[in-house]
Amino acid sequence: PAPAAAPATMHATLLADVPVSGRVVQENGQPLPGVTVIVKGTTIGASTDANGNFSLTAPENSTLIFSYVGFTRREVPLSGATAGLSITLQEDARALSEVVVVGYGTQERGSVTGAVSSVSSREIATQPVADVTQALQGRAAGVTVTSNGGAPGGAAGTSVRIRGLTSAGNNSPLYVVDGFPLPDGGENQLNAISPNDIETIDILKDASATAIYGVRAANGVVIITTKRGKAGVSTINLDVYRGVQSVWRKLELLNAEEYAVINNESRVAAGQPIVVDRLRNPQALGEGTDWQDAIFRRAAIQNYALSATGGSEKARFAVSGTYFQQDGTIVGSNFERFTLRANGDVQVNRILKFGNSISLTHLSDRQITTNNGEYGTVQQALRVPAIIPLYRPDGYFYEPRGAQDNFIEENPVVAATLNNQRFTRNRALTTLFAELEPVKGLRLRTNVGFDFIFDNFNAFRPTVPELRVNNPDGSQDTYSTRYNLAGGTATSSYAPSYLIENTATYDRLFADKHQVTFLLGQSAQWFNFSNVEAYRTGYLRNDLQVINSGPINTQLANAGRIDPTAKLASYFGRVNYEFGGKYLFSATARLDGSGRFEPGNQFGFFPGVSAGWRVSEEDFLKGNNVISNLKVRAGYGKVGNPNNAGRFAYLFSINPDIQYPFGPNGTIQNGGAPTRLSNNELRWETNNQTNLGFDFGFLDNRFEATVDLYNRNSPNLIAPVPVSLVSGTYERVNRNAASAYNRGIDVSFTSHNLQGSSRAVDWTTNLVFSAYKTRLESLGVGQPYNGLGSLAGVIVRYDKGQAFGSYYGYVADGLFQTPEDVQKHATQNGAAPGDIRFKDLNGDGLITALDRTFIGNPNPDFTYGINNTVTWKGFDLNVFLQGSQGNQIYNQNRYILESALYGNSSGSTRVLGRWTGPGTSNTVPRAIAGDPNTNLRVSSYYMEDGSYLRLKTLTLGYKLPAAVLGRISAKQIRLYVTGQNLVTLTKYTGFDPEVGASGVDLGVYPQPRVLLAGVNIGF
Amino acid sequence: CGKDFLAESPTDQVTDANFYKTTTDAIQAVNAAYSELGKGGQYNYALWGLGDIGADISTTGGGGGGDGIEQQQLDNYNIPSTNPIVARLWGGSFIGVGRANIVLQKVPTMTIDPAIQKRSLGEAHFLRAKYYFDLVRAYGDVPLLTKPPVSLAEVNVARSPAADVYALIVKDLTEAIDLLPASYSGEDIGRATKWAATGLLAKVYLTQGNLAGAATQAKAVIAGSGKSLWADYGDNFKVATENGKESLFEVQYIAGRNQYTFDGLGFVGNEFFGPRGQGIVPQGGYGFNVPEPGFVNGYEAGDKRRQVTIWEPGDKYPDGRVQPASLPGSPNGYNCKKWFVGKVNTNIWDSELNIPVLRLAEMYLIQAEGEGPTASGLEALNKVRRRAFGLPIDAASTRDIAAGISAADFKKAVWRERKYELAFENDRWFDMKRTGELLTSDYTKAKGIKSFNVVLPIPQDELDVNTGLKQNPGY
Repeated sequence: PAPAAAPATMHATLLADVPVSGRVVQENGQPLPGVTVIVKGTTIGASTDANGNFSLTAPENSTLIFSYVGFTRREVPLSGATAGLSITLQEDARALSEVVVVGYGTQERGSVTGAVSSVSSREIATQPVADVTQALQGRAAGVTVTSNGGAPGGAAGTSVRIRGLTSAGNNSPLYVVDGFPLPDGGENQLNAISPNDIETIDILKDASATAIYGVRAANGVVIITTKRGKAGVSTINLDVYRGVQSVWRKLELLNAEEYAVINNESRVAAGQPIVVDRLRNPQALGEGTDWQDAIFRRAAIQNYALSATGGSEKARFAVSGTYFQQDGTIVGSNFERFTLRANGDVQVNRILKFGNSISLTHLSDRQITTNNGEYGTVQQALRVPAIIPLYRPDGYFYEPRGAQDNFIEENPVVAATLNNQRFTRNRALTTLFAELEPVKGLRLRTNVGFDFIFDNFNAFRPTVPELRVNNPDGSQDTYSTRYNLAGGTATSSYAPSYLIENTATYDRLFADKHQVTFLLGQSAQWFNFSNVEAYRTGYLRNDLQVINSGPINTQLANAGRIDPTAKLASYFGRVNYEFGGKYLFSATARLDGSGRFEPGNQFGFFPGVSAGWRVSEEDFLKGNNVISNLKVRAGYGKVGNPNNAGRFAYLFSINPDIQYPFGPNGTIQNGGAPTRLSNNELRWETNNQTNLGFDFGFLDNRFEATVDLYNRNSPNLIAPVPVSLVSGTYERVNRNAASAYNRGIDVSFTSHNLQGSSRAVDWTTNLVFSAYKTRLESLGVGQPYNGLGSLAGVIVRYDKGQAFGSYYGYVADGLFQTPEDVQKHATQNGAAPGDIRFKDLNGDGLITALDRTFIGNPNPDFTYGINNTVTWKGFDLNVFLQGSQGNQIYNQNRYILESALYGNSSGSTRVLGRWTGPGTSNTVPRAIAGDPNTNLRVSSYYMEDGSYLRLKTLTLGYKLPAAVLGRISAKQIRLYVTGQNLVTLTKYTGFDPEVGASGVDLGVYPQPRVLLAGVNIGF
Repeated sequence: CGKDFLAESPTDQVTDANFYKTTTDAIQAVNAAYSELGKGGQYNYALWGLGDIGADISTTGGGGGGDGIEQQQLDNYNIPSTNPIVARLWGGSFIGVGRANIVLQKVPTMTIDPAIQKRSLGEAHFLRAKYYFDLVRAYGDVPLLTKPPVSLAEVNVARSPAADVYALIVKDLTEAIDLLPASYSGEDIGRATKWAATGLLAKVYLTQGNLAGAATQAKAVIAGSGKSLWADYGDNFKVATENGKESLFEVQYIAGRNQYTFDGLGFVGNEFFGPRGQGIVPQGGYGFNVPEPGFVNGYEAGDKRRQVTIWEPGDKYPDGRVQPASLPGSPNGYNCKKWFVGKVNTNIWDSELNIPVLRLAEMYLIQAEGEGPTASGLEALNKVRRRAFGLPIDAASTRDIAAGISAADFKKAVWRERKYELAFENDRWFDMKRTGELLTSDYTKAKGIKSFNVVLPIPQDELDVNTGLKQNPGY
């Protein structure tokens, strides 16, 4: 009964209910099953069957709302005919999806009050990447994606940073795949998942949204949902692409003649003799070896994905198999992956359904020595002088010889190809759920799952008598002894994790206006890790490379490790309340316990609240011709990050690896002592984040924008506080010593420049823009401490007032031109004209370590992506630009490239412009062996602007017309060509401006330029 | 259920909750204090860099250019506070001190075998003294910690005056002498004895200028330790005669366990000092620590120590080849031979030869220096000289320093004898500092030594993290 005071205008009870029926189809006439049909303002609803048909009973003159993921929502007023309605839903190119996955549930986009970005499979599919996180680059506002190297298979890892940095340690988000939160760790988590299998990626950015994941959510949450079957439509899809990759840039390096000139000059300057005879006559040396040509190559990439989806109202399935293979653009590296997936859903009866997701992956990665590591293949190729041949006259590889070449590093091609290093991973990720709906709106769900990761790393270094080189007297040259003795390593590790979750959700619309959703849940997850490793040497043959074919008595190392189980016990709840479709409110709470911490300090409380106001639903804006959508959102939350705490830091642990030999036969005895001070006050890091967001739609949503502003404070960051060795211990102590803030803005903007029917040109532009500013505000009891270092010394340092990852070094101030210059300047040991002048920042008249300062940082001013999609008839064109502005790179490659001036390495042609006398150069120092001035020290001299703008992908596709398809009984055939990394505009002088999140280029494996052709066939 | 579910304890590590209980634990705690002796912070890197290359007997060698830059910095008295040798010596010594302090704190209250308890405390006192002795000589005033710190405030303390450090060293050694046994057998050989502690005390007194005390302690060792000089000087530096009859205390090494680290269980010198690229040591030889011609030419004719200590052109290698007239990094064809073992293993670069810390010959030299040109002082010096020339040790000889020598000349003679007797035993820089030669010798002056170089800089990394420390003047 209606309340007595009901306004007279409300005639709902007076209107008669009428039967309504019809059919929903896509633009191409295909039926759309599973479409939700709701009578506006009521809970009356239905969904379409396999043929797109629906029927329900609705009040007269009411409005029906048709919604379906990936399609534009339509409102149809009921007037006149109520049977045989024919509704066509258009594929939605604007909103990424109507439904957003928010963690333990979903929400309609319009109801979301937090900051959530979504990326659909369509956007992922356009990019030939092994790791799906790479496809997020430039796609989601506030998400900064940096590839840590171009090694095949994304094996170098991809840094995903949601809204900048929150910590000096782990900054990777939590990944949740089909409801399973993956174990923390590493940045190549997702290369075990085929991008073809992914339906949507939802990125929870602000703390009010992520608080539901509590202690693990400080870096944001990436929720990945894989494809599932839909009732009625059975499709078989085959996606194939093949392409070639190449390095897009080569550096200008010294040829043999130039090398000899510089090397001789450096020795003469240092008063050293020229020891390699053939260097005495540089002209005779000519070009020599091009070592970049020797290590780089054109390489293949290919992907074959076959999937089938379909089913009925009762049971639905999605199964797929994918094979991906990628050769590296550096010799000796390649990657392949097989993935199988089976997702199923069964509606047992009206109240019970269950389902599963199973994914099995095998991947195998032949690695070359250290991606982005000094002495890795890239830097070695830069080091080797062109005077050293790749091959010997007899056709075998040449090994540099100490005596004759005065160069003792390995031939990088030999190192990359003869050392057989292979990483394999087998991963099974499975979840199973059952959901009971005993009364309408109440859903009880149990979700169990496991993730088994089996990793193997096998390496074999062969014995190669051919590489031996003899001295003139017949003895073996020292530096050709590298391949005298074969050795093999085998490492095997196993990392299982398990999950049990129970949730209860209750959804209800009260009194037509109060939409309430309650969630209560419990989660327990535990993680294990163990490994064993062995190393043998003296193999008699090179063809049997397994560990057990090596002589057992040479087993120099066998080691293993079993970590104690890491456990998380959690309880959480959420209330969503929506009033009249205008006022939105959400509150979340999570209580998380982690076994890493001292008993009594294990549990933490993580709340989140947010509210929204859909201003455009208010009467004063309803029907406004300009503003078609306006929503204001605000939220606050607190989340945690336990990853930097280590385990059992509250205990004084005794280091068991201390040994000393005693007795006549040198019997090893064990020693025991703590090597780190304990800290029983250690807690997880937390951050508190405030978010203010606006969603705009103009001119019937022809232009849409979302703007989010955030302020994140991290009051208790863990800093590994270095302890003076006076303590008698040497390991840093983790303390919640530091605090930081991180403020920023995320903007995404979509413009439907041209909107056409299926015949005309349709052109959409998406733009995302992200900017943040991060500062380490205080180190508390901690001292400034050093991060990443290199051969040249410390590069990264953490200090108050600086951004995370800031570079620290001397300030270079041109070159000394004359002896008077040197004399006038502060005392700088070893300096002479032609050397770099370093600034005496503390003014004490001496250039010392105290004159170092912060010289740059890797955080960009902003990053952006611009995506243009144009379709016309069967053609589609996608142009995706992506870039980063204002980040700095510490180009440690130049330590190698300019070492040519000081020693035996080769270098870049930049050194040809070296200082040779007053006024000759103010930028490139003199050549002198030994580098007495330490020009190679970490200084601003090696800092470079890392900004870039990249044509990331360019895709042109063509869908065959229906007439052709009919003849071969295919539903769809699309042919396409894609180019990736086609154009890069940058001032950076290294191989590639994408050097990983640290911004320090230690010889990063460059990103390949990819050209490929592909076909999608649907049956 | 949360609390039980989360109840975890380390399955793979020992913590202070279950350590420091048993006799074995006590022994392990002491072993940990020994282990730093063998590492890069002491005999495997820092002490030869400073003690040999930093002095007048040798130069860096190696591959030239920037190779061995940290040794070159010590060699040329152009020592930045970031020099890794400077940092390692500081760190290794303080870690040793810290581990000795834990023993001295924990072991007294443990209920364990009383003999082991007493010995352990003696060893800890000895080792703390040894590490502090290196610290105070190398850096001057240093922070003085006598118990394990539990907070940063206890770590970041100001440097104590050198005199206080010496006082602790003397006290520690005096206690060690009371607590330690005179000798060991079996698997305990290599541990510090009462005579090691007495010998070290003699050296400490000598360094302090307490000549009478030095002579008394040295004579006590000579009389009481049961040790005697090898007839052949070279027997001090052979694997077969390790911990032998002249030995008072040695750093124990074994081979073949570790590759490419200064912090393994073997000594790196076989490889590092091996003639560069000659292939007579496992990885070919790096040719560091090259004897200076001035030092080599200073050997008296007939001094048998020369052949034991130095590779010279024409010297035969084990494989029959000979040392060339010059090598990379060694224009005169000299290399350090004292720690040469050869190819102890096919490709593992470390070697098992122990490094003497104290041996009886030095006690004679301390006695001689302490007593001056008295009859017994002369005899003590001459015993060492006779052995050097292969003569009977106890019979007067033509090589003897004759009576009647002035006290000043005698002192110079003892210093010179120490230089040749103890060459490449990591002692020369300390001796030059003690005698003042560090600042006055032509060699160091030519290298540009400055007066403040009598101590090393405090490591920059330490200054960065420890608010209690201040840099030594000049650095």
